[in-house]
Amino acid sequence: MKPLIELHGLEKSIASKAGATWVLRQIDLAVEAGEFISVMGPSGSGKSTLLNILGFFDTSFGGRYRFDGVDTGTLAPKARAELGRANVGFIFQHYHLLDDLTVAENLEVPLSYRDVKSGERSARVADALDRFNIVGKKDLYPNQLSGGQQQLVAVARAVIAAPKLILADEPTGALHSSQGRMIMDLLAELNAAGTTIVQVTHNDEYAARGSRTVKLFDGWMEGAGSRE
Amino acid sequence: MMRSLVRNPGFAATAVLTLALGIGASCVVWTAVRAVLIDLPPVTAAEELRVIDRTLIEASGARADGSFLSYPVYTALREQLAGVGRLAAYTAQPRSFNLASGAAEASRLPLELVAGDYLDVLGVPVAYGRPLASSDDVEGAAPVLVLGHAAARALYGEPAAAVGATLRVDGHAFEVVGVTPAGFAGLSQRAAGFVPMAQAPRLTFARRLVGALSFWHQAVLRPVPGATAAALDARLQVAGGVVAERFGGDRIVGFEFRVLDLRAARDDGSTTRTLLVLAGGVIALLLLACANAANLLLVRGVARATEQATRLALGADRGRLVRAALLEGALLTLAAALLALPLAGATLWLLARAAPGLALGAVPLDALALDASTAAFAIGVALVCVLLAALGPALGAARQAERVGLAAALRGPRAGAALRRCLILFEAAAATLLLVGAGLMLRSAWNLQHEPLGFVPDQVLVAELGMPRANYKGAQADAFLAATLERAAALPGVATAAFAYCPPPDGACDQIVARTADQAEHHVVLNQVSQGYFDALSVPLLAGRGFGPADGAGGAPVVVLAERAARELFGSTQAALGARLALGVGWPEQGATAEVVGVVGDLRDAGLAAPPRPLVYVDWRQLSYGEGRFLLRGAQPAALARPLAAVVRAQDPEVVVWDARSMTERISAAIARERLVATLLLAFGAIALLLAATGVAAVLGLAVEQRRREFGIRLAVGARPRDLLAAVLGDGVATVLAGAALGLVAAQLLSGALAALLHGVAPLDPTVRVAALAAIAVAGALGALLPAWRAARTEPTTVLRHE
Repeated sequence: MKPLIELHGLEKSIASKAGATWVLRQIDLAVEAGEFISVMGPSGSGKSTLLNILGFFDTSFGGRYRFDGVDTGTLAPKARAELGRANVGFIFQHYHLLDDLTVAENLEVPLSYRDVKSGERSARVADALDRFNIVGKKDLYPNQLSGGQQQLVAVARAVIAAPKLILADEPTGALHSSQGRMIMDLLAELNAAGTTIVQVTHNDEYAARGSRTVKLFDGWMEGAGSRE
Repeated sequence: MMRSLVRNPGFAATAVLTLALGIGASCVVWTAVRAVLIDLPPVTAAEELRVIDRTLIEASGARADGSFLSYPVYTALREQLAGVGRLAAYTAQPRSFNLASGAAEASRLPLELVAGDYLDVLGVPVAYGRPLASSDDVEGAAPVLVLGHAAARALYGEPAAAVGATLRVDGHAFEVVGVTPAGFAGLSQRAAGFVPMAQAPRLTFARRLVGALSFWHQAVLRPVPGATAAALDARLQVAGGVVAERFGGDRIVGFEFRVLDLRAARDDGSTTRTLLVLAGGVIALLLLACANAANLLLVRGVARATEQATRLALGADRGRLVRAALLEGALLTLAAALLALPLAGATLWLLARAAPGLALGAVPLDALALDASTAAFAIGVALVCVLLAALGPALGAARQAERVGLAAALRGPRAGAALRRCLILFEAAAATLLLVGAGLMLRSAWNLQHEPLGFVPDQVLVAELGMPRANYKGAQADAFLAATLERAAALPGVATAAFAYCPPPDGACDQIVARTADQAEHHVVLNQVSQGYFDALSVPLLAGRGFGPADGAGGAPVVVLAERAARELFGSTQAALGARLALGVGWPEQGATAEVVGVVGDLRDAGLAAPPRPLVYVDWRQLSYGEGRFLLRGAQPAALARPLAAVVRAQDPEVVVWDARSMTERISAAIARERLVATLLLAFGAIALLLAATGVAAVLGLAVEQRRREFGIRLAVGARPRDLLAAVLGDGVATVLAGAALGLVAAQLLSGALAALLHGVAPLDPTVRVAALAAIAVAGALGALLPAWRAARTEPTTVLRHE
């Protein structure tokens, strides 16, 4: 079976007065469908940049990125964005819920951008609320929830559109340990159900919850290529 | 502070221009209001002067108000009021006369006929020579006159040179005894000179001063010092009884008199309404400009919240912050006021060029000029703008920075968003109100312009002959007119030449009574015309015939009726043919009657708004007043004026061809005021749209900045850039449409104010409202476009960073 994600010679640099500053160098990575990958590395190693590229937020890079067999570099920008919209869900360290919307409304937002009809949206939101045991909180606003609860809602939001891939950028970074474990349990459940997950984490314990760990250092993937 | 403004040139320029447009428009309207409604003629203690106003009580019980008096009534009033004031007669609508000095070509200028002590009562000294005296205003006195300053300069080069000169007024020799100061043109504000009333029989009609019921002039009163209003009223009441007893008869049985101050006396209801509508429009525009400026200052305040909070942390107090913000607002409005004055001056210049000859009341457009009072007004308005536009934002910004502190300021507070939205709502409402007003006036002007006239105005030159009465009376005048008509018809380029006493659209035809065979009396309108009149104006012949060669002097009396007259007098066009009638002006003579030989189509003779009147046409060879206008139809009517003048001059150089304009020009002038109001309101509306759009752009621009994080999240969870674009655009359009709805409500409430100025369009016309809504929606969309585009270009990666 072909990998869900294939990176070949992926590189990313940022132009500056001193010349090009490399963020990612010669990244070769294959992620099979259903894998749970943890990406680790010190600050500035390029972890978040890698996640942005995988999530189709950042499209200016060198090398090749194939998603589900499709060479994303050959796609027009709109088609590339559509591919991402259809297949990727994001979880952020600081939740990034919409403050003026209730929990239920926050869950509905991704569906409204995917042309899901109103009736079906309501049904899927209800399912998600039930699945994540947050029915009682559906009318609350983010500022009425604890950090863990907000992240729970963020996870629900990320999966409600049934993406093939979840990208989690330090999903437990802003949480207490008990809340963090709760979230990691949740991600493990999702992975067990078949969702491919790539998470960035500083926490060894949480990294071990994945099936494989990838380490980045100065933009290089550990064990790959040479460093300048 | 100056550095801060200089480093933000976009904000400063937008704020200054916004306020300058509002202040400039205010100055233009203020100049007109001041000149027409507030300024008084340059006479001594003008506030003390009063104009006599009277009510005629008819035997039928009908009451007719007005300011016109007859000379015998005036004389009686003067006697009765001698103890409480000095009364002086004058003509508020001066008549034009031929003025000729030496061998120079005659000019046609308006002269006021006045009582001998008129200038003395007004307290106007002469600049040269002597004023008129009571001894000049008696029967048999030598004919003298006082010239206006401008007329004296035009006729004699130097005003002083006019004193003692002989001036022929309509052929009669008058001595110029004095010249008034520059700027004085009588209470009519149009007079080129002043002639004693005693000369009226010589210059107008022989029985001018005798007819007790011939109401043709006004009278102004200077109360004696100490005369109370009650004493004046009491004396006027007595005078009413005396006049009724002396001059009342079968038709008019009573007289009532009262006094009005000069402003009230000259109140032409239509002009006042027009100016009030314009004043209302400019107030809406000014408030809109202030709201826009306030919004810009509010947005700027948010951007400077961090700076303000830092200043507080460094020791500044709230008062200091408020003063600084107010000073900034004052600098901007002062700059706006300085820019507004030349803008207003340029606008007045343009208006005078766009509508030449148009007058508001008695003030020609080209006489409107900015002066010191306008500059003071501009500064006053600017100060109001500072309070409205700068004080609120200044207080709000200081309170905000003080209350929430530096940390909150760093987070970018969203306080004030509701106020900014409210200001946009107000701007949209004001813009909609202006657009509805403009749309209604435009439709009204268009309707007027496209009213079926009943005749074809194209390719017709209309010109009046000014014949000196001394040389041309009765048969002499008719002979001159006939000779001119014959020669004019032979001019190259003239297809048809005609003559008429009162061609359209001036409404100068007299209303008279016509008596039909059954002795019934009907009110009709009389016009004396030549044979080619109906051809010259392409008035359709509906039945019978027009005037022919046999209908001259000595021929059987005949008339042609307009269709409305035929219906009203005889029931139908066909029934009118062959019927007979007599006119209340004593024609035909000796009890004879005239035969109706033809019926022509109705035409609008009294302006474009009034319906066609029941016109009765008489061949001028059978009934002539010895004056009227020539109508020449040709391919190039403007080119016919000079040849006509040459034809006339060749016969007598003292006869003047004047007011030679094409019929289309006259028609256009008839609706010049409506077009002017429509144009000004449209300009106000366009400015309002521009300001509303910039207001939307400023407010939404800030809102987009404040919602960057939200937009980043939405993009991250699946929003397309076009979803964000649509959301922001929709926000802008929805806000202005909500304001527009309020504007429509306001328009509905104020519709009564505009109703009297409209023609053929209802104040609640739905097409105009829909068009206004569409325009404001487009303005809102355009204003929201840039912020929406910026929202769509949000990069989630740059927004969603770790905090």
